[in-house]
Amino acid sequence: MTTPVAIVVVTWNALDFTQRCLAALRDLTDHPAWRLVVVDNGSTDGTVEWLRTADDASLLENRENLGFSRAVNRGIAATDPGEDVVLLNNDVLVTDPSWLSRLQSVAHGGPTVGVVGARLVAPEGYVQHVGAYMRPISLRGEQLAGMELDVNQCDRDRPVESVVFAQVYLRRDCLDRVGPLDEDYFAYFEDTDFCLRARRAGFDVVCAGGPPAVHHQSTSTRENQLDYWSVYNRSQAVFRRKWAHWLEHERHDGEVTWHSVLHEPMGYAVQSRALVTALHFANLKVGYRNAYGSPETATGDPLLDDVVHRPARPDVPQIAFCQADAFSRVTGGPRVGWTMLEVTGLPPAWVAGCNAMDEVWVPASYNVETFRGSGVTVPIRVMPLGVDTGYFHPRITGFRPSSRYTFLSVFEWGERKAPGTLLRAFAQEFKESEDVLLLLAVTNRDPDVDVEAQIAALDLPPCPPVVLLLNAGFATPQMGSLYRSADCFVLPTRGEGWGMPVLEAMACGLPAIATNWSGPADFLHEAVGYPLDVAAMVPAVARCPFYEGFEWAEPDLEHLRFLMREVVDDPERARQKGLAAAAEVEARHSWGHVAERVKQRVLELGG
Amino acid sequence: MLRDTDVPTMMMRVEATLDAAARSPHGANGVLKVANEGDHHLNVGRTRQLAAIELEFPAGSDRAVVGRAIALAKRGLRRSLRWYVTPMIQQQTRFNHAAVDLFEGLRLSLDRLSRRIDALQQPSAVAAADLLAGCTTIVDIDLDPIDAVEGGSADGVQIDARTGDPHAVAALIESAFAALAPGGRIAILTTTDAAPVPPAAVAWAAEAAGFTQVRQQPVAPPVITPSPTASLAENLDRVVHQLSAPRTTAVVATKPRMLRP
Repeated sequence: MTTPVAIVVVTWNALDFTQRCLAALRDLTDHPAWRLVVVDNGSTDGTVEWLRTADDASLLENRENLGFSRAVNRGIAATDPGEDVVLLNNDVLVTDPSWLSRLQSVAHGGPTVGVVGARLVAPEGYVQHVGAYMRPISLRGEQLAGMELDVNQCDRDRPVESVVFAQVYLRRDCLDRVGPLDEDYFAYFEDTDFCLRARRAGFDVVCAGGPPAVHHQSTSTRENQLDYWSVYNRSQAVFRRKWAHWLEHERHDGEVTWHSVLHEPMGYAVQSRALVTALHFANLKVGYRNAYGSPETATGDPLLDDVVHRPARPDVPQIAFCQADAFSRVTGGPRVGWTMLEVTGLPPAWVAGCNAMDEVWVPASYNVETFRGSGVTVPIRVMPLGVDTGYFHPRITGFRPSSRYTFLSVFEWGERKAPGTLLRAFAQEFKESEDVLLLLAVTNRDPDVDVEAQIAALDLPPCPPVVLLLNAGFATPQMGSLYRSADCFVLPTRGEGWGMPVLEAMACGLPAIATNWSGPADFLHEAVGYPLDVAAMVPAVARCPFYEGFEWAEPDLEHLRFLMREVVDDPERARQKGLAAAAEVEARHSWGHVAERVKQRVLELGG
Repeated sequence: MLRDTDVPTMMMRVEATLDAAARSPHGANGVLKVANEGDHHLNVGRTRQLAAIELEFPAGSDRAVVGRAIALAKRGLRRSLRWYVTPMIQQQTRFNHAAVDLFEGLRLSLDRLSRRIDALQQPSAVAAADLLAGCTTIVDIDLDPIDAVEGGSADGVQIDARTGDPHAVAALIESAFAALAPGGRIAILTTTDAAPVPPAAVAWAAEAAGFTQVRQQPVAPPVITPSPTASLAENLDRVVHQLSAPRTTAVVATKPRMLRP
């Protein structure tokens, strides 16, 4: 059954924006039962006169600008008790006929959904909003995915901390329980305030996916030459009074001190950033300390740059997510070391580091055996890592550079990734005339290593094109796009602690070929990809002291050729495997899943 | 300041690299490196390195006695002005990067346009009958030299050069040159099923004979459409014939109005 909806629009000058906004509403909206309530906040540019001529809108006129919150409340008060309410800024252009039906279906999709925001883009095409959150210490509102290139990230309905009220659907029962907007806020912060109150009242706040609306942000402020900062600062002071204590001291279900790195260009830092963010949104309070004692520079991520300033408490569970030889720096309450090593054993310093902890977590099951075999005696628990399924999914926009069947490999150049095996297999298997392409997105930070010279030294036979993208430095939010620009991911690695690129490719719906040993063996199997046979376990020869005396897996070159040929010969089967992989990753391996598992254990440890 | 690369931009570079390689004598194969920015004509990467303005310089002085005090004063002065200078430097750096982004965007657009022009300049196939469009007196010859035409009276000569003998083709071209009026045109057809003299060699022979405006032109095979009244087998034969028809390239050239002395 369709619930009637009142769309409340607040205007304060900017007539041309209002005209375009209402025209788009009238022309596009396919919902059968909606009406328009316009509250004018003392416009002087002809807006009121124009609105008076509109016979399909209920017009409420304020003689002066009462502020956004009061105007909205006046509009809501004019709606019927049987109507749900949509708040829509007059600088928003809806672009999809089903926008209102879609918001309503999300809002009534579950008994606890109360507030539904929308995906918004800027007129320039950048993402503006897929949800929002409040920085816990500096108390500044941040929009998720703000100013990122729109590659269809976060395109599904997702629970979020808050949404902006430029376009929002408020269910009537939520409005009745939570009450109107807080009029202490003239403008700004009133949306976060409402969302937090709704969450405390037991309602979920959701950002709906689907085609985005276009939002010309801050139009009223700009058009009316409002002193933005004075309004913002006043509202922030109100918000601080109401919420600062709750946000920092009461909202969390538990607390943990996180010993890791956030900024260095290494795998631990990339995963640590995702983990701290996921733990924060899972309502676990995270204090931070650099695992190696280094000063922490800004990451550019507003949430993380707030968290690093939070004092690290010694009396809560301590998780060290770093190399095990740094575990000895950790003191205080129950200590957990979370680490990995991609060879068959651990060096003595790592064994000592692990045994100094109360328990050790490893991402992949093979490390239980290798750690135990090296002399780790404390309990070892498998705690898998994850992937951001908002940014890695099959609907991400790809930008194919060629119609050729495209293999992609993403890795840091080095012996462990077996680039020679990959290049030889490709060059030996495919003739020059075949319609295939190998795309190598390679990072190399070692100035002593000349990647091009090493490739030349392989003396490859004539083959189809191999395109080398060296240190391209892709924007992190666009990595999914890189995967979606190819047909198949391939990584004949000799060992992975976890295998993040393999999992990311699978999440994007790509069939993946990767060595069936170490991290990837935990999530890559025949039904969802192409596990690559191991030819033999061989000494791990590389420029890394931790590997000395241990072995890793030598991928089977002939089997790699066979698998690459198989996906080219039967691309439809490969595509189906890729889609199955994406479904499995979404169901099991999101950062949200990881955060819940970590949180559960932290609470068991007394966090 | 580190700059992140947009995937669509990089994929455009990959496309351009593959396309350029395909047009090269070696073709699109083997290892091809894609520059992160710019190319060997327009080195945008070098400009990018200059975009970020350095704010911090080591403060020092080579004065023997007062050097330390001068360095200290410099350091103090710079620190005291940092609040004022930093936002301007950041603004200028942002502008520089935006300008370099624009250069790179323009370079990529230029590259794409060049490739488009190249593609447009590839002659499209025309019907054999259209090769000498506009000519009124056309002599159609096979392998016999032209002797029935009064010298310099024809304005079009079409030669079906179904021979692999370059001497015979050269004789035909010379004969046609004599038969054509100044400004007249010649079309020499070379068809793949006849193991012809390669079109490039025919073009060279035409130039050697004195023709100008020499170009190679693919010739579309005659279109044979299935007939609603024919049997399925006959129609299949027509389709197969259409698909497997020999490919013809014509060398088209013009006899100059002003002959070289």
